[in-house]
Amino acid sequence: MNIFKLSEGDMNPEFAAKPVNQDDLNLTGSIEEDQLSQERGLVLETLRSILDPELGINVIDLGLVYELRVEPNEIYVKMTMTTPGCPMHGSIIEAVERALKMFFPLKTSSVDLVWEPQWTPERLSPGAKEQLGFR
Amino acid sequence: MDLLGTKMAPPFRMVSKYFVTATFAYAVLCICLALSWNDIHGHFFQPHLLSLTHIGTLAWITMVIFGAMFQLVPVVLEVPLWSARLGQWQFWIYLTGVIGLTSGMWMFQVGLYLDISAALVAIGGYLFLWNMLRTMLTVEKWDLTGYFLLAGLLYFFITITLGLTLAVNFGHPFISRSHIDFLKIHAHFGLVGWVSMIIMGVAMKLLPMFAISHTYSLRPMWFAFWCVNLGLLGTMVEETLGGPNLLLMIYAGAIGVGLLSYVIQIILVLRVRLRKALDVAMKHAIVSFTFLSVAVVLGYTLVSIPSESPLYSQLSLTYGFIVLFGFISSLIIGELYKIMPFLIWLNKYSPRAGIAVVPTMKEMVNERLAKAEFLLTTAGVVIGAIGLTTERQIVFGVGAALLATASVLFGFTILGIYRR
Repeated sequence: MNIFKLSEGDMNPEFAAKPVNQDDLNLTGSIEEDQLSQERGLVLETLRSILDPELGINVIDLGLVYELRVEPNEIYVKMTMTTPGCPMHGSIIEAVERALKMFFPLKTSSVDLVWEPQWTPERLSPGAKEQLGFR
Repeated sequence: MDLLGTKMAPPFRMVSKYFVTATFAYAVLCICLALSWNDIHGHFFQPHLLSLTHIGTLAWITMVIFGAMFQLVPVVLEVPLWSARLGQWQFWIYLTGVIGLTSGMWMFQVGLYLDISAALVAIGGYLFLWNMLRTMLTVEKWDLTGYFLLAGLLYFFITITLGLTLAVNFGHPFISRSHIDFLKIHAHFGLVGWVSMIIMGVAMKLLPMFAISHTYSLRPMWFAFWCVNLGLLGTMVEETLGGPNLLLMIYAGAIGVGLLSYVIQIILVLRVRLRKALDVAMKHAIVSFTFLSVAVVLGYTLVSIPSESPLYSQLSLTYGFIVLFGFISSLIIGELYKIMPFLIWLNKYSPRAGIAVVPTMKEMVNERLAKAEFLLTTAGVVIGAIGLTTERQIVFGVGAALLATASVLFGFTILGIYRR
């Protein structure tokens, strides 16, 4: 099993305990359900440790991840940015790729950046909305 | 995958040089202003005032714009910079020219010294234009910001060419008409054409991003674009041909309406922002656009006053002071609180993001210092403008001293970001 435990130092404590809005993600897989869900959870935790450096909110709570697919040998992430042409997009995508490669070295990982459908504020988690002062 | 933001960004050292020099120049400008507080009165055409204005426009504002465009054009317009090496050469040629020009003006050293310095500034400017135009030639997706930048570059070309002509005319007079007419075009094309076009275009890209604003109309921005350009080109023709005053007032009115339309655009953007809390950068932007509105009213008043009247000289100084410090510098300072952490984060922390704990950009800025700077700058502009308008030198001196203190705090804040 390709399970990697994140150390506490690598996690963002502010968001670590918050629930993930899993309904918004298109989660599909093809290995045994318990192992798959365990790995999904770990991948989500990894993604939750990656912050937008300008907003200080992680990519999951920002609702930037459109699709997450965890398969026996592969992890696929389809994500967007809050604003088209965001100058940070290169850094954030690279951070996601780097983290997946490091924490799941036995799987091949790929990240696609898409601008359609455009990100909308409805994708923000309640915690992120609160942090932005958005009601 | 499209990762232009990091892959195509110019070398950190190249861009960084422009920002560090500009920050230093701003402190020099404000300190010199405070030290010569008793000289700032009467007509604007006097050595110290000319020198200070050019420290402000060339060493501070234009230097920041160079750095910002080198960094942001590849990201915003999704094209690689044509030549980073040319950007390095340009820096040294331009800086040498600016030091020569401003020192020459301060000491009123007209002649060959000023000619060579002005030529170096112009060469530096032309190199930048060449680099940017070659970069922009490859742009596939043009947006409104791109058009603002392109128009700004056109005005930059006219401004530096006119500036060089005026500098040469100092030592070897050859312009048959009053040089003040050309100086007006030079100043307006520089401040409204070059500087405002660029910072309005860039701010329109950055502010919605920082504030997370979506779904707003861009009509006021388009309207601003056409009004300001029509007004600027019209005033140039009228000033050059010496046309009727009524036409000049109509064109000046178009510039004013255009700038106010831009302010309305910013209000629209900020009204729908998701990020409700206003940080120092946002507060700087709001104060800056408030000063812009005041400057528009003052500028229009100036067009309707005969240039020989004492009120004209008095209000011109207030107008120039508010444009330079209240509108442009305040906005640039705020944007640098965002651009500098971005630049340093990209260079220092981006390679570790995702696998280690790295600071956010907000954590890289000393918020307390920045807040103190913001308050002092705003108070300095208000008090300084009151001093100039009422012709009370001591009041202006207090305002200038506040600005000088704020500029030092700003320098330390930027230094602090580097040391993070």
